[in-house]
Amino acid sequence: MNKELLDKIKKIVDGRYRYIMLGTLGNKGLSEADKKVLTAAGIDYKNKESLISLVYHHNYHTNPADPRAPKNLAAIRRNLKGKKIKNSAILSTLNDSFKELTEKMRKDTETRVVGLVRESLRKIEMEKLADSSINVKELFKESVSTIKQTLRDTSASGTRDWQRVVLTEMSNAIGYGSTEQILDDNVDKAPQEIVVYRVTVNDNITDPTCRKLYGHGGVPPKLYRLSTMLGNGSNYGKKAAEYSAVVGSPHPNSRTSQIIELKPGFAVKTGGSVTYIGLDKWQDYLNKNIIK
Amino acid sequence: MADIELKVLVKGEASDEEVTDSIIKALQSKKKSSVSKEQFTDDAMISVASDLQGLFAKQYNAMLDDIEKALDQYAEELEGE
Repeated sequence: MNKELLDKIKKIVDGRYRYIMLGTLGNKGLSEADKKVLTAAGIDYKNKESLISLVYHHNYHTNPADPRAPKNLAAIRRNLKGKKIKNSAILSTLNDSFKELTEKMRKDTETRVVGLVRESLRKIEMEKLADSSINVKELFKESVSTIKQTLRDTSASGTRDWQRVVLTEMSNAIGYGSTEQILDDNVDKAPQEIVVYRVTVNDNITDPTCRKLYGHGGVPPKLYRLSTMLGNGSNYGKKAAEYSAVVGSPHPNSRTSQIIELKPGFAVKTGGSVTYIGLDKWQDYLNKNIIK
Repeated sequence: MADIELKVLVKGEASDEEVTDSIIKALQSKKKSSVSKEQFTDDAMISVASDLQGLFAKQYNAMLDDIEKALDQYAEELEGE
């Protein structure tokens, strides 16, 4: 009986996370085994759209995002209709990574919830062993109220985990999508000839490392050669003190912008807009401002 | 957000969890129209992030409801034993 309850709870967790996976990655994120489970549960899994792919392609085709750029999900879909869908190896890894992180969240949630219920059931069984006259029904009802309250109390950690995954992985898709567009637009140039920057969100919770690496507040964004950012690889697994300027997500929970190309002859101003200073002054400007 | 939280974050002493908590608190404390301004630099990306948060909240709450129903049902079955 206990096993049936625990199995039922596992199925509930699995089912809801499959919906989350389906809504985020479309049916491309599902394995054949997932599809069988969804079919058996009567769930429509025909949604083909991956929101991570959509973020990538939006940033590939709309860089930089000017005032005419799409402002919401529906507008992004309209804007991408008929446009080239880039078959990028990086995009594939972005979707795989999101799937793995969601799968880890599912496992963590399942372990936490099942563990909580199992522990309550075990406690009741031990009490029954100690005193066979106890009312198991009443004890379980008391446990259920505690379990319900604990689950509601810990839901913030589930939301927090999801928010971290969404912000971080969207930042990766934003960074890689915009970078691949810059590289495709500059096939005749080497990455060391391409100058780029990114813009941080101008609020108080912007990460100190992002402020330092990319510029923040009343100063113009910092300039890098694209080769420098690409060469720095990823900050994944590094300590904050070791972070460097990268094209992907600078750190967990990052909210930074696309990688934006600074065209020859232009200077970047505070906030990320640009002004033309002329090609004759550009080299001096770069010498003074580019981060090596 | 409380001033003290802001100080911790600005000083750069906050952990990833503290930063996320602050974002969530900031989101929860504001009306929907201003929630978007807390995230990303691009309105379109704010829209996608909001959709993903909505998707998760809906499914996570439904999961908790389903689990509660399963526990209640189990308790009912115990009564019949």
